[in-house]
Amino acid sequence: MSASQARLLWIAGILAAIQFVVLPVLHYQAELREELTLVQRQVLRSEALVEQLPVLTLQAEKLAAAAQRVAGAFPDASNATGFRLEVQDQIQRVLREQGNQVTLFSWLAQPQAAGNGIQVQQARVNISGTYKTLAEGQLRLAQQAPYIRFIDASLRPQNRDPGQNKPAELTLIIEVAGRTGGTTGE
Amino acid sequence: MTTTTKTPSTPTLTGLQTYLAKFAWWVDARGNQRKLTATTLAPAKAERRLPILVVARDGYQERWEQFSIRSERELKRVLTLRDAGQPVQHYIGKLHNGQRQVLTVRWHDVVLATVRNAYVAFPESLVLAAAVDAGLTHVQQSGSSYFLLKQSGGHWQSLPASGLVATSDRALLALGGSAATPQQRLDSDAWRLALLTGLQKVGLDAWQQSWQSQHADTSNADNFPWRPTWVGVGVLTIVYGLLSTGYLVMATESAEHRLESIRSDLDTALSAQATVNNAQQTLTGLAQHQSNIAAVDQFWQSIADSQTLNILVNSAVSDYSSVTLAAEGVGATNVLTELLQRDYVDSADFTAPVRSQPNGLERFTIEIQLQPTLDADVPESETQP
Repeated sequence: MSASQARLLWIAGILAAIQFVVLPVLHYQAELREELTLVQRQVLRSEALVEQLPVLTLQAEKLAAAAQRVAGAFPDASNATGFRLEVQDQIQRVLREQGNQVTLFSWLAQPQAAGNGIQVQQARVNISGTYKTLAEGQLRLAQQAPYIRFIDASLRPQNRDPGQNKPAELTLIIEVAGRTGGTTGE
Repeated sequence: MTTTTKTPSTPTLTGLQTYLAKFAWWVDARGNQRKLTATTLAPAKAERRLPILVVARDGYQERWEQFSIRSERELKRVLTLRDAGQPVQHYIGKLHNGQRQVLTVRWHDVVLATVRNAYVAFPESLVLAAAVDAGLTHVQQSGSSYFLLKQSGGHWQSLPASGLVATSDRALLALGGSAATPQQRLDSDAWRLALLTGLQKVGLDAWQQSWQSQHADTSNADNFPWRPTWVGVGVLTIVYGLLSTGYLVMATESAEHRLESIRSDLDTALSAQATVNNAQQTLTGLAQHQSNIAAVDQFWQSIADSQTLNILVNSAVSDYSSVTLAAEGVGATNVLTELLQRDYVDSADFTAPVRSQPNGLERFTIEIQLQPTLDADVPESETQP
């Protein structure tokens, strides 16, 4: 084998070594580096999170309790008919107490599940009274029955007299929320 | 170096010259070595190679030739072929009018061993010519005497003194200089300094060509320790590869270990966070079903304001994010302006053109966008049905 052949052989050997040893090693290192970066970032994030653990635990407890309490505040609607009667009764009573008259109360649709163990159903309520009694009645209702959400309102005065005691008719679309199960919360 | 007597000119040496002086050796025609700056002979240690060697004028034969070969490489090849195996150095000059001046230096046998032992060997006349001004220079020191004629163009020639050429005038004639050529003599101190200056000024080309001449006969490939170099590079590469891979592996493992060690705390934290998120979502969801008392309040405020502004509301329709008032009254634009100043009003505008009626009243419709309320987002508040 001549010297130039030997040299060629050497060059071929070196190229082969680069192709089959050096490059794979470099690839492997690049992968390792990427993994290292990821893991290090994860460690940093995790440590930051762990540092906040006491605060987080406290917050979690508080918020979970609050969520439970708020959910518990909704009335039990597992007995659909009873619930409807109860709600309707309460609305009529509150409004009547403020001197209004409920001229129409009609449930608009079947109850619908709304997540978080809550079901909602809409109703249409026509109320006649004066501006003053209507306002007081609705505000009182909002206070006493926080599970009622007012969707839509239409106020029509019955005559053209000025003043607070003008008779008027208020049409409300309301959405009544209730617990589907006996226990609610998480 | 055993005993050194510094020449008087030593203190005037520049920095580079002192540096050169440390490495520059000189060999006379009888093969005696000494440092260039030393006055006494001192053979270098046999094993050591001399870094820079200047060979006395008597130690070589100098020949000038002209070649009309443009390529320096080609010319070098021609010269190498011609003088193959002979103890010569070639200094190829710059291309000038299509010609190249070539100085061929043929070492005498006496100095040959010393020359072979040097990394870079210069003929004395070449170095001196780089130092002196144009003119005839007569060098006379330690039994050697020769003349050097340097033309104003830079070309030079030298001639050892002999019985025939003993005086400067004779030398001028022999070298072909005109009678008006300025002349100077160098004694040994001035000569020594001139050589140092010459080494500094001789130019990179001369250094390179001397180096190449010195190493032409011994082929580069044989001389350079290729094998150890390759082995070293290979070993370094492997060690680097191993070390860097090892570092990466260890760093990754330690990071993973760290992650593992806080795993349980992390799980707790994550579940706590999940609880927080869940609870927040639940609260937000529940809030959507809670009474929107603030919006109800806003609606009735707009009705109350319509009363204070003395307008007659024919109908008020609201979806609790906006209120549309259809009304009659005096000064519709004034009413709108007043309403816009209320803090529960986000924006308000007429939805239809204002119509004036025969009775002097204006009929108009105003749509009020209510200020967004936060009445539902009260997770902490106690809400009792």
